[in-house]
Amino acid sequence: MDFTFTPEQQMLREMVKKFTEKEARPLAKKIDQEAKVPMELWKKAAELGLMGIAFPENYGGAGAGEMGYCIMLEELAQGDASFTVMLGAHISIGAMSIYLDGTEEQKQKYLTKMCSGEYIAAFALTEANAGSDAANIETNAALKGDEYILNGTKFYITNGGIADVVIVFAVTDKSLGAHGGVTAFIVETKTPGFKVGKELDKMGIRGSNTVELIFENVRIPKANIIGKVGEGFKTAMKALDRGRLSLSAGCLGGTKRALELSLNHAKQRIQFGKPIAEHQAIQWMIADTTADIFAMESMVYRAAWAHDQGMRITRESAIVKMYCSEALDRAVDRGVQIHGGMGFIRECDIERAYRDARINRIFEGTNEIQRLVIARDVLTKGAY
Amino acid sequence: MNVVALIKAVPDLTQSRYSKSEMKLQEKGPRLMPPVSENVLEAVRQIKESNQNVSTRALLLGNQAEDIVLRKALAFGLDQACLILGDVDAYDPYLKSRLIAKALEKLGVPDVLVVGSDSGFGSGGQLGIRVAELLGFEDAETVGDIASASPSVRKVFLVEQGANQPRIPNIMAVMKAGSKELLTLKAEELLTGEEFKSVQIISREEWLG
Repeated sequence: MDFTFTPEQQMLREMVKKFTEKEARPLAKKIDQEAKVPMELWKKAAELGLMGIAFPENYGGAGAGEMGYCIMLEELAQGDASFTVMLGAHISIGAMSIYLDGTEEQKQKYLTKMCSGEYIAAFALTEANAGSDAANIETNAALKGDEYILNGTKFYITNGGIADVVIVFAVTDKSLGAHGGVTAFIVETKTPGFKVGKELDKMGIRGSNTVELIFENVRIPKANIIGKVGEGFKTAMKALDRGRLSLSAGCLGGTKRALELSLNHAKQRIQFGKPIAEHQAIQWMIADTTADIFAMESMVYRAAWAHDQGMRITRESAIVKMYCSEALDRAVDRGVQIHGGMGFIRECDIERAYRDARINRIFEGTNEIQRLVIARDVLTKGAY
Repeated sequence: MNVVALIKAVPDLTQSRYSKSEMKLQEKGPRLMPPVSENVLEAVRQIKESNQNVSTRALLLGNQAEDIVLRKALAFGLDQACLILGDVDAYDPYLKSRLIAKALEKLGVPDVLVVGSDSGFGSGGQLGIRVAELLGFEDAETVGDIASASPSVRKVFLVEQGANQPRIPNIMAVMKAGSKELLTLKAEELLTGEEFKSVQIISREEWLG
């Protein structure tokens, strides 16, 4: 078994690390305070080609595969969580939906602009009454001539208020349920009837844009259907498989940053005449987070590698998402504990990391849903 | 105009430790490109951008494991890269400069050579000047800002660390650099056995006899 990264992957990591340290991390506090990622940061990332990392060159991408994409998110997450989520939603589930099931024409028209960063993408599946129960969506699309008329409301949509294109999942035949009755549409946000509702004030990842989207008689041409009519739920699930893995890579980066912050503090904070890093209670926390990082690295890149080999990773991505999001939570919690009172103060980076981490156990499928996916898969296909 | 950048690979001092008992650095992790080499590459990039018909090449004296450092030069936008395979840590500055000069003669003597002005290849900053002398260059100039310098032919530019702000290479360039072919020359094939003799680095005890 060869666990070494290729020269491309090593250089990619170094390049993103430089971008993170130079451009993203210095803005993290401001992004959190102002609850907004500056578009200048997006443009700088676009100039470096970050939005196209996971896609083939013929769409303006870099062809770095899932491995390259995970490396990028791992590094970015050590800079700013809001920007990482903004980029992740754009690539993993927004642009990815078109890449996975879109037509060649749709890829040339939309995906190329998403790869260049000219377009920002969002993914609109969740509704007020359809969260974990994603099949219960009520937004509907009725065929009228050569167009579908879209009506409904989506909730908790990352990038929704700043997107140029939103991938919207709507019921086209209620009698068929989720599998057969839901269709994915490409909706340009300048289309009449598309409205952005209230922006949500969040506990963490405050800079990422999370909104309610309202569709009032939005006319969508048939040409903007992704895949086949009624197969939207499949597209959503495939995109989420990818999204869960890349989200986990972000958790890995967040955990590494939490450990780095903890170590920095533990080495310089003196109590009982010596740095607290020399006290066993602190060492145990450092050891536990380090062990988690080892496990996270192993599972993220094993799953990414499997994906790049063409294997289906539904169970693996659920396992990785569940484990990594919880490991990140443990790491930031230990980090705050190591920082003591300072860790509870807004000025302190670990305080922001603590708030930013929490969402990972909820979005892209709650961890309860991940456990359900894992258990059902094991019960139907066997453990190994 | 042909421009050659001399770059180097250095130990990762965040991972390596100095052993007092052995009086040497115990290296850990792969070698890295130092900041001054990034300044050199940025300078070459600026020469290419502000002049027409410029072809660029990076040259590194090192071992096979350091080809990743050389590939970064390709990611920075240089056209070609050449690795001189040799035991760089065992060579003194004079031997290093002779090897590099020989390699440049073999590859085609460049019009402009760009090298870091500080301790290039652990040679106390003398490497660029020595190579220039061996190649018969008439002019060497230490530059802070390459844009204000005139890249006339047969000239060595010595670039200071921090002289410019190296741009981050884009992802497409990084991906292409990973698979691009590197030219490799072997040190022992550049110089004959006799030529290879140089000042040997010996311990104080050996020197005192």
